[in-house]
Amino acid sequence: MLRAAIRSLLAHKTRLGLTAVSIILGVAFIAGTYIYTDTTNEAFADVFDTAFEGVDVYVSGDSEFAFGQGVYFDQSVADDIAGVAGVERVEPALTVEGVQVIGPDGEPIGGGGPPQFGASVPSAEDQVATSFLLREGRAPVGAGEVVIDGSTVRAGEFELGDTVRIVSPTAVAEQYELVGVIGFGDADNLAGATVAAFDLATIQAISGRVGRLSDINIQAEPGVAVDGVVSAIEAVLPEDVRVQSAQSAAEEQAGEIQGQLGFFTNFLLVFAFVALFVGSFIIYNTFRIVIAQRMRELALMRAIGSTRGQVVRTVLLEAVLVGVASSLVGIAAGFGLAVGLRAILDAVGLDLPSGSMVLVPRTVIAGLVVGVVVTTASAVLPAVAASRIPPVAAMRADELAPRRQSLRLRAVLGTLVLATGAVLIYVGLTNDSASTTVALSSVGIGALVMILGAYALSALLARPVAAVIGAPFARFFGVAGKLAQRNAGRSPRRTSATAAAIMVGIALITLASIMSASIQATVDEIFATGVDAEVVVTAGFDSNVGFSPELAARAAALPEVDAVTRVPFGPALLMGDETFVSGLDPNYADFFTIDEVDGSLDLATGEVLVDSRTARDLGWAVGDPVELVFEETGPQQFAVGAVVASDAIDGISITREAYDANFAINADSQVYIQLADGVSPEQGRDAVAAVTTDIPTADVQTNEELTDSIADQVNRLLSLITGLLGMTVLVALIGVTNTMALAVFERTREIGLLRAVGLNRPQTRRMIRFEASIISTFGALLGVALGIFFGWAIVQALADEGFTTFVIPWVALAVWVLATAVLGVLFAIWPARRAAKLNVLAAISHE
Amino acid sequence: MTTTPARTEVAAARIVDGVKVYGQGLTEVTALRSVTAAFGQGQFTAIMGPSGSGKSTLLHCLAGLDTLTSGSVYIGDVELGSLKDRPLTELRRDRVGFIFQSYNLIPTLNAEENILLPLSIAGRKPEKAWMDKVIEAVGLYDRLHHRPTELSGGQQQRVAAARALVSRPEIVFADEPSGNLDSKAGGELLGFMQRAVREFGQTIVMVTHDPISASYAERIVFLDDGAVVDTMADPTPERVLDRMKRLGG
Repeated sequence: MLRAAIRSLLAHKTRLGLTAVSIILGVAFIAGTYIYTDTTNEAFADVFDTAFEGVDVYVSGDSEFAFGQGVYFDQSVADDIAGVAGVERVEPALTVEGVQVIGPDGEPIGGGGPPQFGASVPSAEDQVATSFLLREGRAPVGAGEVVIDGSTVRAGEFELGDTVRIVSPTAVAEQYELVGVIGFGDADNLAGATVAAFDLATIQAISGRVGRLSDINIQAEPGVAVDGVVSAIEAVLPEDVRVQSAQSAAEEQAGEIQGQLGFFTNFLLVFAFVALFVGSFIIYNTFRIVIAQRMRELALMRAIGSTRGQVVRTVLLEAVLVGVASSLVGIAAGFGLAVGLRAILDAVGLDLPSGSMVLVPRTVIAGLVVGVVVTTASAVLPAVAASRIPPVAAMRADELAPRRQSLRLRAVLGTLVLATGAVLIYVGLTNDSASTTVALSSVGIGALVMILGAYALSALLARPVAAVIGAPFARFFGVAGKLAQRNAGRSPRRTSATAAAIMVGIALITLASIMSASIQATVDEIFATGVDAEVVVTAGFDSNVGFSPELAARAAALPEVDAVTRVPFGPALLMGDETFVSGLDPNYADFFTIDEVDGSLDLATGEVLVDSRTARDLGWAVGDPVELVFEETGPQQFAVGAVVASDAIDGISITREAYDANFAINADSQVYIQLADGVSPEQGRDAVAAVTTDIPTADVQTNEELTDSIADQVNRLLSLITGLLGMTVLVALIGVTNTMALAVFERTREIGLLRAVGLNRPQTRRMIRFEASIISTFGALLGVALGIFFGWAIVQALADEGFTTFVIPWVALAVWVLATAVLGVLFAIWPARRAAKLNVLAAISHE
Repeated sequence: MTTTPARTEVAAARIVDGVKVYGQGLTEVTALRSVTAAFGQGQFTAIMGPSGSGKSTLLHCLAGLDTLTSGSVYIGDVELGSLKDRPLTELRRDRVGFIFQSYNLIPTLNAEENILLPLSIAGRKPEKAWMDKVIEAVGLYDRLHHRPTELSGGQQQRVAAARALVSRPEIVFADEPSGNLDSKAGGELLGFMQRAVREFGQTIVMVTHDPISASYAERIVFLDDGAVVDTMADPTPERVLDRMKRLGG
């Protein structure tokens, strides 16, 4: 039976090859994603192992703040540790983020993912971490000297003795002399991060952490057990400081990165899933048609004694073989994809460490299992249908009339399924009590179920909609157009199965387009009506820290500038959860349009201002007590001073005074500037930019430019998503080629008759191409309809989060539908040519 | 053996020294051996012969559906061998009508649309009066908007016949038109074809193996083993059957 299956498959190589493409794509995505992340994870593990070389015990601050600056503890802790038994050498260190080296073009080097560190250089007696190597020059001494990692030095084309400008979040760019170049083990940098290192006192001063450390590397006496040293040290440590073996520290830090990569992995796996979902439609369709074609053969098998079960197993065996073959090819293709992923991320600036590709058994097994399961599951229904072919069908010379099965059952089932999916989505989006994973799963599964329901119902729509879409073809292209119109609606089940594959990709693209358009509209509105400032300074999307308050001071001094307000952001714990708190200058109300206010806008130092949505969620009213826990100062008590409704204000805010008191880092995240009368936004922007050239981390833009650049970012993400989804649409179009090729085969006699009676070759080709276009357009329209519903549902659910506008980018969607129509024609070129090339006589006599 | 045309004008269709060979080497089959025949205008001719005689091949070559290995075929005064696909297709569309044994109709078109098919393909409108006459003669007036699946076998063949005539072709080729019909329906169809020739002046060439069907024709050309062996004018079923018995091996 295996041999028969293989031979049968080989006989229909092309057809099954086309079908397999979708499985190959999906499996390639799965394999590629796993290979890439496995490779990257291992590379990171290597990096951290290197970083901790020579270190036995690691002491660091214990911070609950994921977005904080890390906890800094007093330098005296290092002295305490030095006295502990078993400790050979102690290396106190301070590492901070947000220290940026300015390149020759005036822009910071690096960033965009990997952190930008400022660090301390250990003295020769103290050094414990052996990977931290001075490659050239010497260690920095005093406030004016720096050493920088090799990659950054190369990128900035620096040489020893050069003057380098370096910026920290609290200061403007200062100048330092480059006295040395450092490396980490064999590498020139540490996992893509930039490192500028100074002597301890200098980095403490730059970062505002005088007398503080962030970590300590400890070397144990030779022969002493590390665990013993760990416990001994623990005894002398103050509360917010923890100790662990270097090995566990390396694993922990590598694990954190892996956690972040996990998010990325899931993102890509979603696309793999979409590709496979589309593939299942195609396989289902193809197997159905193939079986219809082999009806005689299968009936003969039944007539001579095969049982129903044997027929089912034969078909499924073919499906399994296709699945296995496709999966293997897909896994191989996954390597290519992993390489491609690396290249794309490099191009975007995310320079992750790499190594040789890692292929673990999990990847191969996952790819095979998924590929085979999807292929086989998609072929189950057709296999069962095959087993129902009556043996007598082998004897009939005439064509069996097509089953006129009632579509009513399909209508009922389809509506039920569609409704179930909608309910699942609703529940997932509105249920606040469930965890995020559960909510997302509910939405995801709901979307899937809705797609299946839409597919089932689309069979009922196929004939009427095809008639409408085909009307212009019939009108303008004579008989070829009319036949295309009729043929598109002729087999509603097959048309809808073909169209549904396209529907999936287009629905998701529609969703993405709607989300991006709505986000942009919301942002536009916020900045147009909610914010009253012609020039806005932001910290740039690359940086995750702010810029020096110097900027605001200098801007305020300009004649072009009327007023300035500064907004810093910092993390605080609210009831155990980390949230962001902003600081408001006394003049904030002049800049942000406030629609409603409860309480007084005149905020006192002990008060918080909160937006109405958050207040509602937390059940706060004016006067209620609020406790915020800050990294530096611990728990602080406030009271709700005002609840406002405003497009521009979100979350919790405290006064500038309160902010400065509780955050050591004095950095601004945003500065809003109102210009004097008669000064254009561009003039204002230029004036501010001119006096702040030594604060390169700040982006000075007009209000309009800022919204444009936000739009840009959103569009870039949209392009990436659309590109990935577009691939699934292309795969679905291969399904169209498949369907049309099989349709041509099935209609051989009919095409022969048409040619005999006078239809010429161009007309024949047009007939096939137009039919494909109609089917594709049908799929696209279904996709748009479904996508609009998804988009509406999500925006509704996010209304609470500030999503004020729901925008349907009609033009973009129309372009997609049109593009699909055109692509449908292109993908039918080959079947159309085959139809036109049929030998007329042979066609007429075809069985 | 050659045959003389019934009239003196140019024959509706002619074949001169037609040879058709299929296959190569050991599998070579000669379907037509230097056949020369002419089919006059306004005549109803039947081509008869045992299976393997080459009668279908002859019809296909005359109709432009197949090409001769050597020799020439003429529709009117146009030699088919010299035509490329496009002009050949147009000739089939405008100047030739077809009735096949089965599968004559496009399932997605109704009867009226099927009848008008060659004209629609050419982008021409039918002559209203002529079309009404044909439809009435074929008895399908109340079935015009039915799809082929809603018509009986006999009705389907009559739709095919109407289609063959509506564009007023120079010649109609019919390949066993009543082969799948019961005797009553077959008789009706053949009777209509006769009327078309006698009343409307059409030219019909029909291939058949059935003596009764053949007797509807005015003249029969007998083919055996790829060559014309005899002709018969004003046939009756008995004479035809008799002659058939002496054919073949």
